[in-house]
Amino acid sequence: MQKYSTLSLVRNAISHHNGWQKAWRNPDLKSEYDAVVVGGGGHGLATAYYLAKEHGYKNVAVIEAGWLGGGNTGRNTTIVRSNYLFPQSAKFYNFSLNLYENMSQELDFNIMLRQAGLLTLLHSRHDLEVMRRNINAMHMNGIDSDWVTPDEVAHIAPGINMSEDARFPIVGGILQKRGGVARHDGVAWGYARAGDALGVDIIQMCAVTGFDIKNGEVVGVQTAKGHIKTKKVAIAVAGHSSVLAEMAGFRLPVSSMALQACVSEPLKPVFDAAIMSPATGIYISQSDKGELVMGGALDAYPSYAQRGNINTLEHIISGVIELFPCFSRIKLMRQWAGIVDIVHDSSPIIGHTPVKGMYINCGFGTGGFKATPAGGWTLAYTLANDRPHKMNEDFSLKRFETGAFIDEMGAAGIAH
Amino acid sequence: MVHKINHISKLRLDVASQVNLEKPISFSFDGKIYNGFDGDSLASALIANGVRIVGRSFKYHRPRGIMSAGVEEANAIVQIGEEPYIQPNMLATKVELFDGLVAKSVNAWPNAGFDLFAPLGFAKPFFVAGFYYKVFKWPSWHFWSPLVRRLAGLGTAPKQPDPDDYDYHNSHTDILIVGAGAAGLVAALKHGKQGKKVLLVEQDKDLGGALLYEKFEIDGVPALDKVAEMVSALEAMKNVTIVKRATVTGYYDDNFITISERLRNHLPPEVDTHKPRERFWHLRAQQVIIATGAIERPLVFANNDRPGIMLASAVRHYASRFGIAVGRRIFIATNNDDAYRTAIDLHAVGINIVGIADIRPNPQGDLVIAARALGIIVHAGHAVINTKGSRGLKSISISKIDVKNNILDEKQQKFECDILATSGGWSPVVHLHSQSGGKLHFDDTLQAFIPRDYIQQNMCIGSANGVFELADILAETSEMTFKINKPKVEPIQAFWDLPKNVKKIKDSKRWVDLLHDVTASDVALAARENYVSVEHFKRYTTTGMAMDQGKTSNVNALAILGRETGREIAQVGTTKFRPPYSPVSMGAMAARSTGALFSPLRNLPMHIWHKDNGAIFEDYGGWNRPAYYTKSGESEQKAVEREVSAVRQHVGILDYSPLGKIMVKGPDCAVFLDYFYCNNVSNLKLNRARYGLMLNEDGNVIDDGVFIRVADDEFMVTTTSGGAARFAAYLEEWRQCEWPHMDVVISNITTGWGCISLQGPKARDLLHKFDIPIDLSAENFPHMSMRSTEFAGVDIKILRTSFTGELGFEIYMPRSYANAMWEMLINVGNAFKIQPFGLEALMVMRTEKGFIHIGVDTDSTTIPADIGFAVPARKKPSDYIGKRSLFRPESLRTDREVLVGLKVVGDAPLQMGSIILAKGYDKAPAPMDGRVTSSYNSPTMGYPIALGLLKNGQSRMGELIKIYDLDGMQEAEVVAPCFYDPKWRQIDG
Amino acid sequence: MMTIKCPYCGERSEAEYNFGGPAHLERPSHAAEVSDKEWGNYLFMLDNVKGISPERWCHSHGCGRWFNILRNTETHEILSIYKMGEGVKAARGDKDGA
Repeated sequence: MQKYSTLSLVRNAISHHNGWQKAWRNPDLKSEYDAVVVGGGGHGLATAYYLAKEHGYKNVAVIEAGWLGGGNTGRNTTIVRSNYLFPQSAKFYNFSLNLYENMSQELDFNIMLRQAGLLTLLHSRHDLEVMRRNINAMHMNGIDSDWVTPDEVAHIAPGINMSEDARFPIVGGILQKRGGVARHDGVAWGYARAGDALGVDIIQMCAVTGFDIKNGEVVGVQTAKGHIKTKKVAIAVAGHSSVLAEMAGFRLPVSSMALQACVSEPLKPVFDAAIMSPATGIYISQSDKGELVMGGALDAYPSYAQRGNINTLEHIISGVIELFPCFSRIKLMRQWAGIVDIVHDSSPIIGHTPVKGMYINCGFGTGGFKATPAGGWTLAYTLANDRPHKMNEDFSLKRFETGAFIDEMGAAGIAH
Repeated sequence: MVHKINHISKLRLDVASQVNLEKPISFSFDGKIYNGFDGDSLASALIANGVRIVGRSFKYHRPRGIMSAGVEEANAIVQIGEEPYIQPNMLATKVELFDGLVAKSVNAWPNAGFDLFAPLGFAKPFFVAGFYYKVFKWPSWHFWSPLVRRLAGLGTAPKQPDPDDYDYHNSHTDILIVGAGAAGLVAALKHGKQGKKVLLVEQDKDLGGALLYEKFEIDGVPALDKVAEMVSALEAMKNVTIVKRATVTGYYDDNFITISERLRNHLPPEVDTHKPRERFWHLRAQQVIIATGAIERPLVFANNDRPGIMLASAVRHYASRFGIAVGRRIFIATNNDDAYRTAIDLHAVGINIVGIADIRPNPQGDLVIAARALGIIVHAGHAVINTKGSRGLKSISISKIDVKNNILDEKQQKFECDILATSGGWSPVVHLHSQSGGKLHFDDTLQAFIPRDYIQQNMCIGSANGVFELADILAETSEMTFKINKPKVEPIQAFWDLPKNVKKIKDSKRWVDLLHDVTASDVALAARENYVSVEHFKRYTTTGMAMDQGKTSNVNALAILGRETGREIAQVGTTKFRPPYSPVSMGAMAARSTGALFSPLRNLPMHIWHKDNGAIFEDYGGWNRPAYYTKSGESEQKAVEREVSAVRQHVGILDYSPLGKIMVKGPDCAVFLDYFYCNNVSNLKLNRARYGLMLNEDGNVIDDGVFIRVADDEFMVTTTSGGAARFAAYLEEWRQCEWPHMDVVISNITTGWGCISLQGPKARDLLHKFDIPIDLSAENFPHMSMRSTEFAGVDIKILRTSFTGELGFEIYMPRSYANAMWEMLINVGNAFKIQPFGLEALMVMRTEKGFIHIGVDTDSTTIPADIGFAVPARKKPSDYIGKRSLFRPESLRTDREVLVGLKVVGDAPLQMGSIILAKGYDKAPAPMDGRVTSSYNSPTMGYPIALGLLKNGQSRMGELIKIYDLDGMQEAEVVAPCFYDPKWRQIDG
Repeated sequence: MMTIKCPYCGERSEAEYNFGGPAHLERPSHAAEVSDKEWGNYLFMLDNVKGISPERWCHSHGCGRWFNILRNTETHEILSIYKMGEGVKAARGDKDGA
């Protein structure tokens, strides 16, 4: 893998940047792989990378229907955090955050992780009481988390409405200092480049059209570019999980819903932290380019259309203006949507499927981005060992039968 | 303060224009005062004043000048106004000048003309596309990002709240016509005459589109006169509405359209403040006619970003509409016939056309011939290759070009000029079509993406549809015939970037996306590194991701990417067009849905009384309820203590109106309700009440309340105040969807009926003072029973129940009578030392009694067994919602967290939300055994009390447990979850 | 923002309605007798169709009535609308026959 550094940048600048190599190859599809990862988003690319790096898989393909990183990986609001309520989630997401913290070095690709903090706003006496549980639980789980006074909120978020007469007055906040944002494309590209260097074949613009299953075991994958023999398949296609499951003959406890995001025109820095407000239902951060990146609740019905509805958007914007009345004259520049997997308990599914040799990573709901490294890592582990790692054993499909849910709905009101 | 200066710039042409030279206007830019005239845009006024540098580029702080006359402007981004009226990132080309306007450049310090960040331009060799992915890894991006963030961004965010108002406007129309250029106008006339309801929306202040500046003649009169004629015809039609200064921003499902109408941006901010600043339209149109025109593309060559390099159409736009010569010596570069119009028009007003470089080897169109006839020199088969002039264009060089073989001649010719007008062809504005779900097709003749495959009820007309010549547009759109000269036009020559055979050109800076500082070599770099899918390319180079969303840059960039990767433009494809078409004020999108109307709070029937009597209000589940009442200077704790003791010793009165009240009536009501409670409903006797838990199918407790049999075939059901609407809807959903055969009617009377709760040992005595015709004695009106009666001519219901542990009567009456009854009870109750009490006192008392509060002592995982309902829920013979889930392994686990009482060691109450540590741990981090759900200083007991959920709690009575809170560790003893009157001796008073 | 034709009120904007989940999902009549797996399937396992999907909607800010919609989840096109209790096949047939 070509080394990326200040030195290599300077050296290439002298040669007018003619020396840069392809970030990844465009390999031809082989007829057989030791493992096939369906889905070239962050989770799929991470899965392939960890299969190659941690488990010695030399012959892995990532099959992507569109272009790599083009699904939710390239559409989310890039927040990373691990402020979860239940120990299973906390362990999983904190592992993910740890991987994020070393990712730029490990992948030799700047994923632009900026840990300026994730501030969750509290708006009422009830919030104070409920969220005290969360912060204490985080401490129990070994997750950093600080109680923040209204004055500190005003300092972290200049311009925020501190009026006591606000519809949702701000009475405090919880700050996870290690929370923040990372560059979503960088994560996908970094994993793709590093995986490719380890021999992973990334096949773009190649839809999976079916699976060959014999006696309940997967033996092959049919794709638009040809047939693949393989005994191991990992599926990581958030938004389209049910579609792939149907091809393999099983159903999932997943609804595909549109989740919107939008950005404002670029502005000089206003604040650094990512801010979430459960009462108004919105979250907001400012990108390194200066745009306010905003999001909120899901659209109200299932959709595979990858475009957002206007009434949801207006509600998000109203929430933003409610929190920041000084943003009213700032203009909205772009609105879009991704299709996310919504699951009953807002926790992911990572593990076995009813088909032997086939493993799935889905159900991350609105918060898949922050889970990218851990989602890939645990899926790779599960596939390589044919058993879940301790970190993902509770996130199995089995819980929909036993009722042993990990209900994170209350963790932060809105899960991103 | 802006001072008036009255003189007319030399750049103002002595020709008729749409600017009123009789009305001078003063304005300031970057602190300097200039003058302009009514009808000017900020851009035209700046040009007239000779201001060449109006901004600095995003990455390299290169000096930039005005490059267009419209919404496609990529350079002239300015900040308008001062606090609290700041408008960041406005296009100077679309800002209408008004007296006193204050404009500042963005992304430059101290100003655009002299920018101390300009040396960043020298870093261009390093700051190539995506360079930041390769560096800044050490020590971390977090370390570097503050620096980068300060350099990024354009305008400055306002710091003060917006004083202006915004409105939504909801509307329907038969036909929406977007754009009032030639195509839009004649389409509006056609549909208007047919009697259809037509809405014509134009983003400019004037109707006419390109006819506002093109020197066409229609039916023997100037086009502008024809426009005026059409506009007055339209204005005379009652069924036609014309909206100016309005942009159609979004096209959603089923022809749902959003329009941003700017009512006051063209006025000083203090004027007409009674009007909304902007109006955000929600429009449903039967048919949408997209007549949005086309945007001219710039040509790509070395240093094509200097101030003075403009779109060819913009040059004649300023001359004709604003009467301004953008320069004195104009050179023109083109690959098509249209740019010759600029030569002809500017020549006509006496401006020196230095020459025209046309890529095409032998252009012979009518406009070419006409230009040549005026003596203008046409350098056929030549391209502009480079420019000079660090603070504004001074000269250009051209070379002979062999487009077919993509070879540039080494020889150059230099021309001095102050303006270079370029035209690379036209791109139809297909954004709305694309948003509607329609597809695009790259037309090789037009060298443009044109609309194809309509999904919704819409059509594109005119140049938005790739029909560029006026005569064709009119013929296509209108049933009328117009007399118009149609010149013979030769096809455009596809040309996207200079050949790379000359080294100096190959390594030059050839800008593709001016606003985001992307060059042709950045495009090549992306291709080299395999970021070749159009989305990768866009994101890696940031092309088209700036404020203009690539209006002038996208097609050029795609074509160059195609060349670098050996693909046709059609194969490269385009990225998706997303709303909004051009940026919209967020205030307009929020409109009135902010402040008190963001999520309106509901007031109680006795709101005014509460307010007048010292109530401190809080939001409880969307209701504005008294948390407590203060007497002068009293703290919350003291007030709550006083209220609790009044209830415990005398009588308290509570406005309990938000309590959910749902009537369920019909022969099947008992069987029906049996499906919703984990305890038995149908065996309840007439006039008796029972407490019950409602579950979802997952077995989790979603609400609780009392149900009362008010008739054999009718129940009244109460719910938590926050859950009323939800539970009523839940009942309806099951009735309609699952059990339609059941004969029941559900009506939610929560907001129609008020409820006053009297609690305390003196409650009965107080009621006895009133002439209520029922027996109130404990024997004949026992706890958990209801009486319907009449009082003062009003039908009321009285429920004997208690959420405090004291003797309690809840009196239900139509909401309009509630306040009168409340005041009567207070007046008479004064003799019994009655006190109004708020929610906080209620919370203390229910905790003392061990009554749970849904959503506080329960969460979305709680099942009946966790809160003491294991036996009734499992034993209930009939099926009910959630029952099956109570028999899943997780529900049957014996070590679930169950409700217990907690008696803290020491005097300090536990914090709600503290965590109970697993045995053997005494500090964080540790496994969790449960949590404290409710905790108060109990004035009744004289010590702190708490409820909690504890793993295996029933079998841990008496155990000392360790409890973590961020403020410190505490210990508590596990006790039964009832502190006050466990034997229920107080309940009858 | 779809337009939905309530079978009782006529055409109204999407904002007046609420989506309520998949249509034609039958609650096991003898819930106690089904296995944990079957119960889990009933509760959670969804078709989640990409394409034409039968859904339950309620005209919640109107008449309050529930009804079924056959809707394309990819395009948001509504193929048919039919009352509660009417089978999806009949509705599909209507469309095919039209």
